[in-house]
Amino acid sequence: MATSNKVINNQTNQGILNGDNIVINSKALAIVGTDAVSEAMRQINPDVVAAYPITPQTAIVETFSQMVADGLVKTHLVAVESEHSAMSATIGASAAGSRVMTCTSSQGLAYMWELLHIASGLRLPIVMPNVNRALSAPINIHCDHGDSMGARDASWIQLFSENAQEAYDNTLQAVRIAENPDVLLPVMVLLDGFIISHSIDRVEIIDDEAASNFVGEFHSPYSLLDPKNPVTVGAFDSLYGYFFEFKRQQEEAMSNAVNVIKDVGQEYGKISGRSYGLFESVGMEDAEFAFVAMGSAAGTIRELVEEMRSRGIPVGMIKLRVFRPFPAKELAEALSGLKAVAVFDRSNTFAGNMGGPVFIELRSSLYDLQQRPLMINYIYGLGGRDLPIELINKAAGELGEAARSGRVKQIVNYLGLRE
Amino acid sequence: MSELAMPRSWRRETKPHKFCPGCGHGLVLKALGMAVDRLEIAERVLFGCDIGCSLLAWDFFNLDTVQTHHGRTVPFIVGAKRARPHLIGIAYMGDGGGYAIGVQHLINAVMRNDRILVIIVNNTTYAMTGGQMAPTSLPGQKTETSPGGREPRTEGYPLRGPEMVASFAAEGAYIARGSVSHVQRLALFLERGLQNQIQDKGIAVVEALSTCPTNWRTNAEDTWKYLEKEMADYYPVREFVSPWKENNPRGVN
Repeated sequence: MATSNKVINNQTNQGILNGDNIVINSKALAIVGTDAVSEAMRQINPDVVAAYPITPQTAIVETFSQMVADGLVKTHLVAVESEHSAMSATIGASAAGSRVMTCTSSQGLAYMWELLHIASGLRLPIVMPNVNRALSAPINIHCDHGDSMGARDASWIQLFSENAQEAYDNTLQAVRIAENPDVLLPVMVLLDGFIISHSIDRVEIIDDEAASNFVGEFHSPYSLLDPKNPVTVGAFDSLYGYFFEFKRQQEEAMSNAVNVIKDVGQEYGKISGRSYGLFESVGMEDAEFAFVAMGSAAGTIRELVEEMRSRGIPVGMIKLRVFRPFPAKELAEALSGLKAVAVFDRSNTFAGNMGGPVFIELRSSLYDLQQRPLMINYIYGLGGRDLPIELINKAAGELGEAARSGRVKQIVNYLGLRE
Repeated sequence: MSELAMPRSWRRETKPHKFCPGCGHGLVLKALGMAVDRLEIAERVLFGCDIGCSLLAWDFFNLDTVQTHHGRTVPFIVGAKRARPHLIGIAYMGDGGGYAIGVQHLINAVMRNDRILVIIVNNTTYAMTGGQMAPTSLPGQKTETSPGGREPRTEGYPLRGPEMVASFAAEGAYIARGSVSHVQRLALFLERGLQNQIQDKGIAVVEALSTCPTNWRTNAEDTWKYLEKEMADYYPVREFVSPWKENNPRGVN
């Protein structure tokens, strides 16, 4: 373990901070992604965690169980009998006014589906790391984004992580975003199964006190355990009630989250040296064509972009961090004027060759631009299929060709598919 | 053929099997293979495996096999049996699938007295995910999610599945608990469970006490001691409900 006490002069790996010189107390650990999330949970110190084992999430709760047993946190840990019960217990504890978390993956998230809508509908600021894993059938335990994409319309904020460091950073920030009075929506922190969750990475853990101060105390606005202000949650609301209005408010909260995520990301930069926005731009200042990707694949694409840049090729990358709310306006600004954009999707919509979810939403976001870039979709990595740099290079060739010729040969493509 | 040899219903090409050394699944599946051989029903069997270590049995037999999702092997087999009553439906699950995430299906299938055989392998832990606390973990048992040992005051006592469903099982149901420490007896229980279905008497639920040295972190001697002493003390090995007490050609235990 290396402990550092360093002064950072505004420059971070995520961008430029606005403030003065900042002092950061942190220690660097060599830990797997699941332990990085457990460390964040230790610092958050939630009142209740209810969880059920599922590969590859299990290790988060295992490490956290040890922390509970060792008295490092005051959390009530409930080893429930299923993910359905995990989310139900989490909802109950959150409605009772406490800060709660759970974790899951894949089938576990799918099994929580009906409760996901209840958590967001009740406006409960639950934070849930989800270790991305393919959905059955056939059964597969490896990474793709099909599980969390199944929850994209569940009114949960979704933050994607490129590596273990971001999984840790996102988990801490998620609490602040969820609990913001203008938001009050649950947040899902996404990290790629095995690629991030089970790989050892260098992770900077900020000082416990700084983390604790950053997260702050939770004061539930509508606690079931406040006898002076009795409330009823989730009661029957039929034809003549306000169901429609509640749903409209959820959309409003999701829109509010855009600025809250940016503010929290900047504030986090002041205690960590790593500030966050809605997405990260690499080489986009003068790019003529660009990649858009989420999760660990962005690390591999970044490698290629830097290599191509050194050869003078005007390529860039946008690493999308926030998928919900979808930063349509900001992405359109960042991509306007480009000749061509390749969108990488680690899941499919099965909508009849419409492409993956990121592609469909980004394409829709760019519709109002005066000059729209050409768009190509690459679906890759389903069920953990590897994405080597050679495949991205192949896509880069096709993207460059589209930019030169002004024509896209094939809109939806499959990278690494055996056919 | 001697029953010490590989059962005919086993698939030879997939042996040696994929379970950990010392795992009890091979013995449960040996007992099941023996029972299927004796009754000569291999052509009619639909074998369903749950999520967990039980799924490693997907290519174990020369039987039609289906991989179901977690905890839902029982309703899958119930559906198949209703559609094709001639099938012999077997739901093969662990204690996680049977007593935690899928327990409502077990309870309701027993209540409906569905004509299927449910086999629940009890190794007192969630083994496939790396040894977390299960409903069957014994008091004081150290697991990955109960590092200080299962504490009954906050985590309750282990679930006795057969005793639970025996308390409301309908006429004709067969409920028993065997152990891999006595494979012949376990095979007899499974044969009676299958007979129950063949003769349309009622549901059969057979729990098999099993071993998990990988997650228990025990050597061979301690593994068997834990199975035969501590587990068998809490989980008595016997038949709980049986229409086969009398006139059973194979005798009663």
